[in-house]
Amino acid sequence: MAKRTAMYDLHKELGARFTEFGGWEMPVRYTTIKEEHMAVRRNAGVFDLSHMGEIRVKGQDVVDFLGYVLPSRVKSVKVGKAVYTPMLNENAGIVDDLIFYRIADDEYLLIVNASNVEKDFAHLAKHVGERDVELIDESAEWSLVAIQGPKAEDIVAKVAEGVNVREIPFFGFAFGKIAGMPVSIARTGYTGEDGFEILVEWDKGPELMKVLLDAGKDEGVLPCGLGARDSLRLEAGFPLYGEDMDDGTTPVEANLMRFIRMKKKSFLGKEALQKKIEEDPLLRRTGIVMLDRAIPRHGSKIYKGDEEIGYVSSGTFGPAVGAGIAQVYIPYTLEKGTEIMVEIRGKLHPAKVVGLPIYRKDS
Amino acid sequence: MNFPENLFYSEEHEWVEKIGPKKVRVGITDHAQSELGDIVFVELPEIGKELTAGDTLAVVESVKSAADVYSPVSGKVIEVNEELNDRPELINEDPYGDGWIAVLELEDPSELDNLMTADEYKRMIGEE
Repeated sequence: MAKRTAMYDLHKELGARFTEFGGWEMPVRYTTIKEEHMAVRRNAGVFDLSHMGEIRVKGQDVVDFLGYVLPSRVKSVKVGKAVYTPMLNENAGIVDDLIFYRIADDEYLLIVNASNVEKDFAHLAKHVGERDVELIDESAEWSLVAIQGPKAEDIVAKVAEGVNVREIPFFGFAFGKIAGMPVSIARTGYTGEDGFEILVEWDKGPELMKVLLDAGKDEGVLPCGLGARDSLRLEAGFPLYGEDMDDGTTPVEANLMRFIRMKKKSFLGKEALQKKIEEDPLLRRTGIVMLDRAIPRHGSKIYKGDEEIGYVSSGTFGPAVGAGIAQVYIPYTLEKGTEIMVEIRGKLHPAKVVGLPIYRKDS
Repeated sequence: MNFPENLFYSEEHEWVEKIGPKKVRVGITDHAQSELGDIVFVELPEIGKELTAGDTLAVVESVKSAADVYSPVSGKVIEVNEELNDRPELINEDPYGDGWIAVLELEDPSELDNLMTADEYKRMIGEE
């Protein structure tokens, strides 16, 4: 049976419809996906992300270990800062994508995808070797609540104690309290808007979510489900693990090379990645917008003229764009503005290459 | 939720309204539109298309997914609701009125006997 977060009863009270995602029974929407999506673009939305995993990594050799097992910066990341990175296997395939916080000189916390917790933990454990490092799966100990949108900062500032949230930089985090509950507040997200992801003790999740919804009542805040989370991240150009990439995709094709530090002397998968760069694979992840009302979905084929040139890895209706949008794998030689065709239920529909992100706030 | 008494209902959540001896209007129920959420695209059938009961009549897409609308009866498509091309949300706003999908010319009017009454339909979705 699917697992439930501590907020399950609260979701029900709030009128959620549920879906199964990564082994969890999660709210897909409370009102409508469009309404929740636009609340985040205009005001703010609150999401339960407690299905995501937390893996604590600490010990004397933690910098050496994570520096090897992650392809991003690790050592130079200051305490109080967070980093987004893919995690690679020996073949440079993406095991998962994650955000890590540097908690202390010898301690990091990894926030990983719900469906990958066990795989990630096993992958990390396999590569620890003789190093003095402790791995702790704390996924059952933490609720994670995100508040995203232009009004998120004002709302969190109202309720946070012992921390000036306005001073938390992008991809920084700080400890404080909300309604007396100890929390970690990180300025991170998956929506393309400013906002925070807040960790709190598992049982306190519902109270935290209620406090944020209450504090944002006059600002037009809405509880948001995974439906809006998906349409928001698609517009923002963020990949979804399992749809847009998996163990067989490298950061070259997934268009994530800007997160990789090739200058590092060594990291797991570096040789394979170097080889992949030299191979110069043609198909890479980018964004398209439909030119009619059709909606592209995972697996739709893409044509230019008579030639099949790629495929849709994830697609939806983008409420802020006002059209069907998709992340796709097509030749990177196609310039922005190029017209292509997407096959949807046997018919070809016109679309335009727009790159990533698909939606820009100021556009 | 609203289920008008004068309509026939299918197990796949379509409604059928008899508007002439051999003519019916078809759409999806209030329950179906509510389950789907915001409808953002409707793929309408071509006029003249011959359908057997159970064939795909149209496709409605919500933000999240695409769903087939099955023809509850056999017949020929003689009219489609072109308005849905520009305003697919009419299905959410007025599923039994402005959100109708197509008009069919029935092959065999007795097929309507296979469909459910409003009460039967309500009972079915209550049990789901």
